Amino acid sequence: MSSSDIRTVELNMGPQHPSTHGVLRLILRINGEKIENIFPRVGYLHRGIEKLAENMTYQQFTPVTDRLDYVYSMNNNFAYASSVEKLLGVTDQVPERAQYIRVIVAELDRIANHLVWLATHALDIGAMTPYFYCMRERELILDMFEEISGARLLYNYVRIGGVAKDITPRFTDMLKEFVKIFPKRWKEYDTLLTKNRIWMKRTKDVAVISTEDAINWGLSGPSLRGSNMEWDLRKKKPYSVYPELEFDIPYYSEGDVYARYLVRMEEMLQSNRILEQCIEKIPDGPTMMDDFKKVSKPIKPPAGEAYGYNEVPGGELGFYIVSEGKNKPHRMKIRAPSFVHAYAIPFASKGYLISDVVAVIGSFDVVFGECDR
Amino acid sequence: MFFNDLRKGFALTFKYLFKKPVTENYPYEKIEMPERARWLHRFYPDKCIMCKLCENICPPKCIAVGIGKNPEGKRELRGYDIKIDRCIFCGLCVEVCPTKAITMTDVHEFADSNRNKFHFNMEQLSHTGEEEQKKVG
Amino acid sequence: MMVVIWGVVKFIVLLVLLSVYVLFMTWFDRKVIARMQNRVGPKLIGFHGLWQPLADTIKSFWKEDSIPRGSYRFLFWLAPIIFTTCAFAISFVVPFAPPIKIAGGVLHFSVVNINVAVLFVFAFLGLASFGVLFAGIASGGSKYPYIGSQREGAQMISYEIILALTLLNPILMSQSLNFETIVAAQTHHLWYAFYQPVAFVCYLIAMFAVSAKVPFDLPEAESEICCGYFVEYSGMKMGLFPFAQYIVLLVMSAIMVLMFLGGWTGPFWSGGFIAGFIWYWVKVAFFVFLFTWAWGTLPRYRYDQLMDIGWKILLPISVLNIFWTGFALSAHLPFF
Repeated sequence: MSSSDIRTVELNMGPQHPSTHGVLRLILRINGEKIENIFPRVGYLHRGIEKLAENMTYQQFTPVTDRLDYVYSMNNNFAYASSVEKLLGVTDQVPERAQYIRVIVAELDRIANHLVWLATHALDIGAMTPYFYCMRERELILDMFEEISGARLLYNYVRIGGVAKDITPRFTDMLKEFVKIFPKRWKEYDTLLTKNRIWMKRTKDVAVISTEDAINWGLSGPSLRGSNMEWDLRKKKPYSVYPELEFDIPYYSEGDVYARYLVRMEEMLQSNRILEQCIEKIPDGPTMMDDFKKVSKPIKPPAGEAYGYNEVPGGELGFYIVSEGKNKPHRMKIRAPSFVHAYAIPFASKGYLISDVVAVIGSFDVVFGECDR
Repeated sequence: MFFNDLRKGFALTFKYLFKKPVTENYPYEKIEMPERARWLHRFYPDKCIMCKLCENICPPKCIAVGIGKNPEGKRELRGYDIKIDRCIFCGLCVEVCPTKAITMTDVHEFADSNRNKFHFNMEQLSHTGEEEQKKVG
Repeated sequence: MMVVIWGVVKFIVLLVLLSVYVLFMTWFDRKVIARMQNRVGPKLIGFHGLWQPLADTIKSFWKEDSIPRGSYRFLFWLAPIIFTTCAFAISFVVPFAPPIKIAGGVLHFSVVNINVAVLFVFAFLGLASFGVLFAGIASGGSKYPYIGSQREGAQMISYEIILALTLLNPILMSQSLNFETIVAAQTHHLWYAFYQPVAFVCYLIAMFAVSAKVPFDLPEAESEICCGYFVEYSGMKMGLFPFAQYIVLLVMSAIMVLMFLGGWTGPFWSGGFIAGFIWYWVKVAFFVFLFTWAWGTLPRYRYDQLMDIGWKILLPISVLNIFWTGFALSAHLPFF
C-alpha cells in the first residue's frame, strides 16, 4: 500500500443525503476535506421510461414525460409535444393561442423550477430562510397550474397539437397578479443572498468551468451560460412564438457557482418579462388542432425520425423519435440535461472541499427523475 | 465596511417577524379545489357503453372493465375496477370517454396503510364523493 | 457546612432552571425562525405549541436507543455525558442575577462565586469539546461523525484562543477574573464595549463559532455532513448534544453581557435588585435572540474560510488589541 492510499478516505455521499437532490450517489475520495476524486453512481430512480415509450401510443406517453424532471413537468410536456409535431410535420399548424398558452406555462414553470433550485441551493449552503420564501411563490404558480390542468405537479397539460384545455379567466387574473408581485418577491431573495458576504465567499471561484470545458462536457442551459457562452435555444434556434417575444439571454463570464447563480436569478426576471408580453399579445382562437382533439384517435407519423429540442430550465431537453409508421414509436431517446450535468460534477469539483461539492450539485440543478429516467 | 449586506438581510428577516404567516392550516381548514381537479374517479354505470376506450388509453393499465353476456345474449357491464395505487391521475380516461361515464372528483383524502383498500370496484366508484356530502349535510 | 448546603441548593435550582430554559428555548427558536420564514411553527400542543418541547422530550426518551455495532461503547456513552456535564459546569460560575446584601453577608446568584471564574469557564469549555471529539471517534469508524468531530475540534481550539484573547482586555482593565468584580468595575467607567469595540466584535464572532451556530455551524452542517458528530446517536443521548449546546449558548451570551455590556447596570434606572435583574436579562435575551436571528438569515461558512477568519483576521487583531490595551493602561490614557 503506497502512502497516498493511506491518506485518502472513501466517503459515500448519498443516495440518502440531504443535499444530493434525490438519489444521486457520489463516492468521494477525500484527503482530509479535500476532494481527490469523485465517482458518481446514477440509476437509483431508473424506471425505463425510454423503453416504456416503445409500448405506448404517442398520446399515452405524454403523462409519462411529466415524470422525467418532475420539477418542470410543463416544459417536458412542451418539449415532447413539439418533438412529435416535428415528426408529424405539423409544427406550423398548431393554433396561435395554444402556442401562447404553451409559452406562458413553460415560462411560469421555468420560474417555478428556478425557485425550487434556489431554495434547495441556498439550503445546501446553509441559508434556511430563502427556501421558505421561494416555496411561497412557487405555491402561487402551482395554484395557477392546478386551476388550468387540475394537478399540482404532474400536469399532462401541453398535448400534441395544442394544449388540453383553454385557460380560464381566473387563471388570467392570477397570472396578472403574479407578474406584478414577483419582481418584489425576487428582490427579497436577492437581498438575502446576492450581496451577502458569506454567500459570495461560498460561491465565488468555486468550481470554475471554462467555456471550452463547458462545451466539451456538453453542458447546456444556465450552466453553460454561466461559463461565458451566450447560448439559448429560445433565441438561437427559435421555436413556438419565442421570436415574437422580447427578452435577453443573461450570461456571465466567471464560470463559477456564483455566475450560474446569477444567470438563473436573472432568468427568473426575464421569464417574468416574457409573461408580461404574453398577457398583452395572447390572441383568441382554438387551443387544439382538430386532428388531435380526440385522444383515442391514433397518431401514425410517417416512417422517419425527428429530433425535437426545447430550452427547459435545466438546459436542452431533446426527444429523438424514430417512427416506423405505427401508432407507437419504434425508439425514443431522451437527451436529458440532468444526466449530462451529473457527470460533470466530478470534473467541476475536483480539488475543492466537501462543502463545495454540495454547492456544485446545487449549481447544476440536477434532478434525478430525469437523469435516471 | 459597515456590514451593509448583512444589515439588509437581518432587516428583512426581522420585518417578517411581524408579518402574517402564509401557511395554510390544512387539515383543520379544507382547501378549496379548482373545478378541474383531478382526483378520485366517479363512475356512472348506467352511462357506460362498454367501449373499453378508457381501459386502452390508461398508461399504467389500472382500469379493468368487466363485460359479460346476460341470458338474453346482450353485452352487460359486470364490473369496473380501478387499482388506484397504480393510477397516475393523468385524466386521459376522463377525456377519452364518449359518454362522460367516468369523471374525476375532488375527493383526495383517501390515504390508507392497507394496499388492498386501493382496489376500487364499481360499487365504490359509483358512490365517490357521496360520503363527504353526507358529512356536510 | 452552610456553604456546602447553599451550594447544593443553588446547584439543584440551577439544574432545574436550565433544563426548563432549554426546553422553552427550543420552542422559542422554532417559533421565531418560523415567523421569520413566514410560517407558523409549532402550534398544536398547548398555547401556540408551548408544550411541544415537552412532547419532544418524552418522545426522545422512548425512542430506541441504538448503538452501532462497531462503536466503542464506553466512549459512546461518555461523550454526551462529558459534553453536558461540562456545559453545566460552565454555568456554575456565571452569576444569573445581581448579588444581594443580606444580614451577615452577600447572596450570590451563582453556584460558586470564585475569583478565577473566567479561567474556570475556559477550562471547562475546552473540556466540553472532548465530548464532541469522543462522539466522533466512538461512532465506530462512521465517517460523517468523524469529519464532524474533526471540524468541531479544530473550530473549538482556534476560537477559544480568540475568546480568551478578547476577554483578556476587560480582565486587564478590571484587574479581576471574577464576574461580579468586573461588572462592579464597569459601574465606575462606561461599559467595556465602548472602550473595546474591536474586542467586542471579535468576541461576538468567536461566540457564534464556539457555540457552533449559524454561520459557523460546521460540525453539524446538516446539508454537508448530515448533522456531523451525532449522526450515530439516537434517543435521549442525541438530545443531550443540542441540550448542552443551548446551555453553552446562554452562558456565552451571559459572559458577553457581563464582560462587555456592564452586566446588571443600565444607562438609566439602575441600582436595586429588580432593576439590575431586568437589565441583565434583557441584554442576555437580546444575544440569545441574535443567535436565532442569524440562523434565520445567514448561510454557512466553509471550513477553510472559518479557519482563515480565525487565524488570519481575528487572531492578529485581538493580539494587537491587547497590546493597545496594555499601552493605554500603563500610559494612563484618558478614560482608561
